[in-house]
Amino acid sequence: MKMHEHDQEIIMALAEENLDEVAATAAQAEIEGCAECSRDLELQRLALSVLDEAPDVYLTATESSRLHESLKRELTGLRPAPTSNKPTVAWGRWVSALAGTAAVFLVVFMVLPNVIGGSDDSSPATTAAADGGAFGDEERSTAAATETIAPEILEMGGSADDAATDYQASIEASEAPMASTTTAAASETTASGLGLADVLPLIGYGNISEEIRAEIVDQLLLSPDDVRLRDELAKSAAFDLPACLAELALELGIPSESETILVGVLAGDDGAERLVVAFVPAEVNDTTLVVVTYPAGCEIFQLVP
Amino acid sequence: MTRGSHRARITTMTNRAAEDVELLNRYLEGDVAAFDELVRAHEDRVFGICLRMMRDREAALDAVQETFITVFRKADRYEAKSAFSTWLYRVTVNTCYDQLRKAKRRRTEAMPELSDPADPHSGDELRAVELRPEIEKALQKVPIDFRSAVVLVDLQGLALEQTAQILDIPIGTVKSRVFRGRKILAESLGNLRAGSRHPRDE
Repeated sequence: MKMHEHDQEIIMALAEENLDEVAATAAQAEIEGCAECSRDLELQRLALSVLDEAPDVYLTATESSRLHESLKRELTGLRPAPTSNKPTVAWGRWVSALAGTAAVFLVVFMVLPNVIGGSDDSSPATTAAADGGAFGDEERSTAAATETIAPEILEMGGSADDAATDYQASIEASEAPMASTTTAAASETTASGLGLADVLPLIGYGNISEEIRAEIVDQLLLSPDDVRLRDELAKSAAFDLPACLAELALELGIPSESETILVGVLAGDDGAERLVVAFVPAEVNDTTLVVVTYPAGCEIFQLVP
Repeated sequence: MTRGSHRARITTMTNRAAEDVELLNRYLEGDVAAFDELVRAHEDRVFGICLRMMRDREAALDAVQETFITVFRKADRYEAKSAFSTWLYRVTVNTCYDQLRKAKRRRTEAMPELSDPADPHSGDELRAVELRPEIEKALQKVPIDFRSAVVLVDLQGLALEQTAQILDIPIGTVKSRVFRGRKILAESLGNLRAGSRHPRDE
């Protein structure tokens, strides 16, 4: 029997380089005697090479915000809230992003020695939001990539034919309250010269719960080993903040010279510097931007009013 | 690649599957914020599947929304006998199938060319950044059943076993579809590249 008639699996394994040396040599020899097999192998390798190069795709900040807002409306049966002059954060990841970022502020400036307990393997996998566009894709990993898959058979099919119908009647749920505990006095200041009173107006959101603060510290695997002055950070090539801001400017059309306030750097549990938090108090189409940079890249949190 | 290593590490250290079940249970008990967390944890992966399946970004976004709405509605029917993500991706794939069918009907009525590559977002900056048009175009040449297998296994990196569960087909069928899907993809790529070597000005 010709090989291609019975063993696509061998060709796939060969293309995927999943065979040991002996098996691979034997398969290769057999394939060389079969023109169709050789062509199949070539095609498999070509496909794999281009698929391997395919970048991850992800939602942009705006798309994610839209998704969460529409899901929220679906979930609550409410119409979109009227626009308010008071800066608020779009429901969804931005709440967490902002809360998390503000929490880092608090951790850095206020309560660092007392609150942080190091990384926690059981912490939620929710990550702070990243903006889409040119420099967010590689640093966004999907949670499911590493999860454990149970071997059991699926329970339900998941047909989506009736997905958008009678939804509101089937769900009676109310929104969970957002974090509302103020954790530090606004008049407090720190060694860096910035206080909460300086910080909070920039981010427009001052009520951070202990729980959220602890969560963001856990998620970022932070420990309070290193808090440095912003002047030093501004000069740090390691974080390359100008490059991040330049990309931000390119992506969102804001001037790269927009005022940025550096906050601090924290060490990871491996001792390496991990995070710089910088706030850009710029208004771009009524959107406040928060920039987080760290040696491997940067992220932008977009706060939509 | 160093970029993103921190995020990857964070994810690795988290028991995502257990977290998903806990969040789903919290949602079923009335905690809406828990579902928001679930969405945040999975939205990019769901979007990745939808975009690869449907190509068009807006259509993919619609499918993502539809997927999560379906999960909203049917959350109480998930019994944790498989990973939440497996169930979610199954809903995702089914939603994409549905949307593609609807789109095909609409296009059949309105347009003679089903696979017209032109779309209103072809000049979208995001597309240029995120997608490889040549690959995406070739991927659209792959029949949907094969494409879904290739998307899940080769682009989303899911295991054959999980892909079999998601698509509700035997593992052998998954392998066969992946094999054939890759083959068609590669052949399409070859054709596209050959075609691109004939510029008008030569």
